[in-house]
Amino acid sequence: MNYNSISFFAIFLPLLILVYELFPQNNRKYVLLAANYLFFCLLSKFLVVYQLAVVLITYFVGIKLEKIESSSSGNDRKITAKKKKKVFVLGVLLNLGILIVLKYTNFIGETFLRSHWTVLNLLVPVGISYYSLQAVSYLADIRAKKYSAEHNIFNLALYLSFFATIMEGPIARYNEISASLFSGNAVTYANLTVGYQRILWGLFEKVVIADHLANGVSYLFKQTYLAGSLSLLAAVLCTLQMYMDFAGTIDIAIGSARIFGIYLPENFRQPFFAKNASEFWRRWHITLGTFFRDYIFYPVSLSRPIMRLTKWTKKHIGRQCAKYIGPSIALLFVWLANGFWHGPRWTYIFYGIYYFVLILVELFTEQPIKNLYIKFHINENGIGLKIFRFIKLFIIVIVGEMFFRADSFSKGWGMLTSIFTDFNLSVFREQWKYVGIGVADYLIVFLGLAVVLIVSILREKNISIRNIINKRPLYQRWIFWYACIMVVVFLGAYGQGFGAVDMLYAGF
Amino acid sequence: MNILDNLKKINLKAVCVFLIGLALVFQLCGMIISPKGYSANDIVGTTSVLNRLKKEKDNSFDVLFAGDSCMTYGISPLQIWGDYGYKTYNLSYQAAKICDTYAVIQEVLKTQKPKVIVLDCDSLFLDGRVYQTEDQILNSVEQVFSVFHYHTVYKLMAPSVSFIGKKVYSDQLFKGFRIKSGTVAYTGGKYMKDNSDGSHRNHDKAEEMGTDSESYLNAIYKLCTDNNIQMLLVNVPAPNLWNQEKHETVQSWADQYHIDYVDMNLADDQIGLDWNTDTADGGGHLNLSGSKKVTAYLAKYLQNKYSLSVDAENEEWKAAYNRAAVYGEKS
Repeated sequence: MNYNSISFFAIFLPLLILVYELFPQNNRKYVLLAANYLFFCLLSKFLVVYQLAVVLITYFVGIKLEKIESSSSGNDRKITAKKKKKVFVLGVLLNLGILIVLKYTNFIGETFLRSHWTVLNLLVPVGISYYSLQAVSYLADIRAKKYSAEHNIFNLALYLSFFATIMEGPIARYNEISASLFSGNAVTYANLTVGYQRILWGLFEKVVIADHLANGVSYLFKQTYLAGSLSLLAAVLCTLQMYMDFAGTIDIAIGSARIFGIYLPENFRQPFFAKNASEFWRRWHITLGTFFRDYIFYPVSLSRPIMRLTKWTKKHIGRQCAKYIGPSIALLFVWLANGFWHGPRWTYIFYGIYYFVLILVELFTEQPIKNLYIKFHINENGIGLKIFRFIKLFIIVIVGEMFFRADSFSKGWGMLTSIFTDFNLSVFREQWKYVGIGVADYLIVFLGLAVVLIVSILREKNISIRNIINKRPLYQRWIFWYACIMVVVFLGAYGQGFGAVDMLYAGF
Repeated sequence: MNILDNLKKINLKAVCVFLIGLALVFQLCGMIISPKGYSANDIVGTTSVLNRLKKEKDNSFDVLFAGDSCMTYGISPLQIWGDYGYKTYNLSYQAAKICDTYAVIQEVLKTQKPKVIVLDCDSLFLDGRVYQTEDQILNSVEQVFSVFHYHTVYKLMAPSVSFIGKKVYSDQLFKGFRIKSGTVAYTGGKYMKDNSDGSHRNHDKAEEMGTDSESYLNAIYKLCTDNNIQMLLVNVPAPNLWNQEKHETVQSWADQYHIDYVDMNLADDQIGLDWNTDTADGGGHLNLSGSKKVTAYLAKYLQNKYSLSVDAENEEWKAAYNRAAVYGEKS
């Protein structure tokens, strides 16, 4: 049962709402908890034991961290900090250990033992990369005394297994959602309608746009060789599919949570309107970016060895170099972690390094470019520069996604080089309709993207379409929503002629 | 009291009215887009074939070919007309299920009175049901609200022409036949047992037909007998799709109903097929070279077996034959 299946939003959610409402407020969180594990078991069956192990580890390590803190006196801060560090590291190693063993054993074996390694058939539970990070963020925050440890294990289990975030996130922090998650507030008409409207928008992005591209993207990336024009087509289509698939699924997740009055953090903020790659990553998969910022970038930047290195650089090389050395090393860790997080493949690691290099270049060239603008009187907010930036960013993103999606680095490299060495437009003219996507699919995707673009522009200008609609009379509102539902029903890529398309980011 | 209060918060009355309204919209849209008089698994495929056939004159074909892509890429009506002068039409299309073939034949018989219907048996071993998505809940919803099943009708509005070079052709031009270009040799060797003396007949080893396929086969048979049409079962050679077990199953059914069955997989030597040059995709489908040989073989069989009317001087067919020959050469 995926979020985009009819079973989820037309059966699972309504039944859950009904049962949830039948229980008194203080017991509703247990209804949610039961629903979470039912949902998890339907997806991953007995692999739920790994999720339960993460809950138990996180619970006991969290309590232990709190106990160490509360039992310390003011004089032995250093000893307390050391003790907490040891317990925290143990907790992180255990949680990430499960993730690493299940997800990376074969990759490590194949990399270091090569032909001596026998591939193990390890089943990976859905969402392990997401709830493991949530567990780590919880322990890090307890260690940093941002909030106290959760003493009710059911509450913690509810946080780590929440059905709306278990598959693709967003990676919600404990303090962001715990109050609303455990409150058991009744479902209100406002939350119900806003939640389902958000789900509908998510279905539009996922089922109408992304899933129409799925066949074509799979077909193109399966080919042993593609002419440059088709490689470019593959890169563009896979980028659009990835964006719409992930953003759509996140909208469904946020809408599902909203029904129960639970506010999940946003994960996308019009990423293609970013000025550069670093801003793009502050708008794309936001919760992963903030996780890496808070739990890798800052700790590495402020770690003793980096501080010492910065000091040494300042003294021996110069102030300017010292300014960049710490953030650069921290960024390297962030982007390696980003690559590894996506999965055990060299293409993902390349993807991480690719953005590391780009963001580093942006960091170094930011000031010189600003100086150029001033020197040549270029308006930074001019339309020409905006278009240039958009094209530049789009090229950066599609090249990254091309490697991200390719089976191997050499495949990605072959596709990229073919764009420059064999850009055969006649091949494109002959084949664009025969790559698993028909004319009708292209038209639907094009129209769908036009709608997404308009909505994105309005969002960027802080204009709420929902508010505009809500001001209209009831019959007009209903006609509008009926029309939106019918657009998804008619134009969705589901049923006869379409295979079920899994949510792409659930695989990471 | 608590529960009632909660339900008030949800505004259950409004939710129910909205959902009832939505159900009515679903029903209304379903009524508008559902095919009239028949049910189909693939509304786009069946409607395309039926729309194509509407452009042909009524009662103008002696033989109709039905089935899936094996038939589409295998049998050329224009070649048959060129060689023997009797008029045929190929109703098959890619990935056609037997339920859709039944629906197409049912509809076509309202305007055509063929003497023979030739059915390719490849699709009998696929799921024959109208509702057959992987999601059982969706299948149930589709049966209640047909708009979910037939929602892909929008595809019929998109241009569906194919290109050979810069020239445009459609299935219309080839009377339902399509050319599959390219050559990828089949190298799997012999895939059917030598059954010439009947010694290999073993019904225990027969492969079962797909779900509901036999009931649709029976329905096609009934349609033929009710309309006084001869039914012929065939298999266009396809090493990757066919085997002896499937053959046994079809042969048993044909024996039971006293229907002629020509499995051309057993006759590849007589047909003169060369699996190095005559298949487009390594044994799944014939290319133009393969289809020419198989069409010639089947055309001769039909000519000898049934009394078919020759209309070799038909100007319209002459023009179509000449146009198709030009594009055929180019492909």
